[in-house]
Amino acid sequence: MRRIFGVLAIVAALVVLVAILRTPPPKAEAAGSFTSSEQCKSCHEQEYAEWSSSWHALSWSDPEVRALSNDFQNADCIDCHAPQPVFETGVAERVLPRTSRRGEGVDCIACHALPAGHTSGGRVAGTRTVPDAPCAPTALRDLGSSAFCASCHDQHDTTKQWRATDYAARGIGCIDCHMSKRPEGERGRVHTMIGGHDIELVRKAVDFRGRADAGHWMVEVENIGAGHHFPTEERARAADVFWRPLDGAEHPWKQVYRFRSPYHHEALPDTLLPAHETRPIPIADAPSSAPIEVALFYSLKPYWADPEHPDPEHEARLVKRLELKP
Amino acid sequence: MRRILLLALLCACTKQAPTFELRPVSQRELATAPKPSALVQPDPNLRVQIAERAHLQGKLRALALTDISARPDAAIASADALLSDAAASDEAKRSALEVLGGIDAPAAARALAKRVDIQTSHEPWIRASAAFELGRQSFDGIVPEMCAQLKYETDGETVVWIAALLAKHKNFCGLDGLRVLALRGLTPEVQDHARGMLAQLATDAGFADSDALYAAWNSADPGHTLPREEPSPELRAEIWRRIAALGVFDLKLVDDARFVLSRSPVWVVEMLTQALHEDAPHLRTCVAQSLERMGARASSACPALVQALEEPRMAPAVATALAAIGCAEALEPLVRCTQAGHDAELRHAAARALGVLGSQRSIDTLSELLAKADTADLRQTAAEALVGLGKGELGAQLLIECLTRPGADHDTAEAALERWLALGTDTQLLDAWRALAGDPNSTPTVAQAAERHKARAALLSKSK
Repeated sequence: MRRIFGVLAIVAALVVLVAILRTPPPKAEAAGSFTSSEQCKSCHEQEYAEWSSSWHALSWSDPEVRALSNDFQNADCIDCHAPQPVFETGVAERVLPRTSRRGEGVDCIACHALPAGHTSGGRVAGTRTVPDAPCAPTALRDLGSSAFCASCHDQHDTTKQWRATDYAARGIGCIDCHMSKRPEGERGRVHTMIGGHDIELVRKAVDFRGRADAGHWMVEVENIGAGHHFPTEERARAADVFWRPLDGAEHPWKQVYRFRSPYHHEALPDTLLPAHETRPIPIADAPSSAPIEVALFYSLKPYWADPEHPDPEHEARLVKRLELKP
Repeated sequence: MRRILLLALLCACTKQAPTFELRPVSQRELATAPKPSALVQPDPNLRVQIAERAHLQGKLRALALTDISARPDAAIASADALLSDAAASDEAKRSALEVLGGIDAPAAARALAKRVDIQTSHEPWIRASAAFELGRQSFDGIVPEMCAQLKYETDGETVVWIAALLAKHKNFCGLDGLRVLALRGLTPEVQDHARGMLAQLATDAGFADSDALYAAWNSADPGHTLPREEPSPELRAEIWRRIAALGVFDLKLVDDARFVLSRSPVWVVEMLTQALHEDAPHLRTCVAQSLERMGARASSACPALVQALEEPRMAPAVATALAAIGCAEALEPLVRCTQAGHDAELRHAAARALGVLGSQRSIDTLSELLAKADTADLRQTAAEALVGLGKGELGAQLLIECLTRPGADHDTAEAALERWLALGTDTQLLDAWRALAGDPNSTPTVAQAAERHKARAALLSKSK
């Protein structure tokens, strides 16, 4: 009898074992089970506030982006505008689109979250390892590397452009300009991550000068500060040189040159200005015997409301302005 | 003996459930795929002959073509070189295109395809002529490349000829462009040309009209009414190259490959189904996206896609594909994927998929998510999905809150609420909502968009 009970007990144990082994485990919750960047706010108030005011936070909701992507009907845009965590898809690998919390855009989780079971044992990547902290950050050098930014920002070759510059050779990377260190005495870097939307940063990128040349005015644009082409990134970005006579009367601006990487279907030359290079731009219609006003404007979208009569003062932002006088 | 039996029983019972197999699919296929051969050296004499032929008319011009084509490889290389010469006259280039069109060979087709590329040929007439001449060729290996050009082509006539040559190889993806041109072509001539081509393609394919052909092309074609053609090994190799391109870093190459694959005939589905097992995670995810973008045409992939829900990296993309294709058998697996314990990404994708697939089971599941999901984000997704199923009233209150809640997807909530209002009967409320849209001719600023969301939330809250 005892034998029968023994066999039955073994069989019962086996059945339980089999049930355990054959039931697929619930899928691991990715990104360490973070569900919103809001979760970061209570401990990282300053960073959260900076990020909230950044264009990374607006990458999904920016009306310009929504208009250009046809409200993300162009699904290819979602990859970078609501990306899965970079550490999940792979540093320097192309990102993949998220299906959750898209409203948060490029959020804390996208950059910091580590996949569940990461070899470091941490839940997020940071600059210090603090196992006891609630988010268990692990110091990972990849986080601050330009390769990390490349996952999104090399989709339009910006990181590639940077690699070809002197900056890369000197070890000056993306975060050195776009994520500056906080003032002396404060830790960490500023999470506003300024870029083309910050006109002061754009102004630091170029030198704009003019001179007379063989009876006409000539201007030069030199890329003195951008660690990549000017402008760079999305093909929507453009910089334009305009001029008009300076004789006290009202004159419309006349366009002389455009810096831009066109969309494939436009079949136009790529005129982006590489780092350290200078582009001379003759103004053939402007004899150097008369004074003129010349300006460099920067646009976040490529098309003018009226292409025949562009209005840069209202549709673009002034980068630099010169008065050229005989 | 009993111990051995018990051990055997234990081994048999503890055998793991089969895992989703991964392997380097596309690279293996491409290792044995035919590769295009390089062009021979151009012949200067033949080049002169091609250029001089431009001045001949009628029979003499035709005879000259026969003469030149007697040495096809050299003629192709010479015509190609002439087309690359910026100094060559337009007449000489036209002659070169005709020479290429007159030699029915893969190399000639490839040389012509190069000239249809908007980046190679900035003059629309060259692209249009090359596409026309390509329509005389029997080689189908250029079909994917031509399909990709449709993504970028801006010249109406070129679009018409590309659509025609694709249809010759039983790929009807050019119908989309033709239908747009027929309605909104830049000139009446282009509109007429497109309408004429639509009628011609329908007749050739055995359909009463182009609408019927278009419907058949965009469906699973259960009656097998579409004409089919066995792809050449070269075309299959090109398709494998596009599948492999889904795994590269370059966004344009990936986008182009997805575009081409999703617009290929249904025989491609079998290859894409194999590629779901590709060991590169980006690649297999993009394969699922390609199937998604094929829509109902990819219905034969449903069983494989249901199985692919087991692979966590691509499962969200697979769920989206199952919905877009309309795989009814995916309903229960998708319901399971919405449950707690699954990855958040998959839960969202599955919830959205249920909103597309429909059924009472979907409504019940989404209603439960709306009430009990552990994140506000997932509750919003459930509310949006319910709008798609005509049950917007269940989640409307939450969506109104989402219009202004920090971190919520304001714009998607707004779009869902607009759909819900449009489905309802309160036209006054809908008009008031639409009146808050702002200037349709200008893009609002971030602040203006936020104000709009706030005003619309106030409007709906007041109307309750």
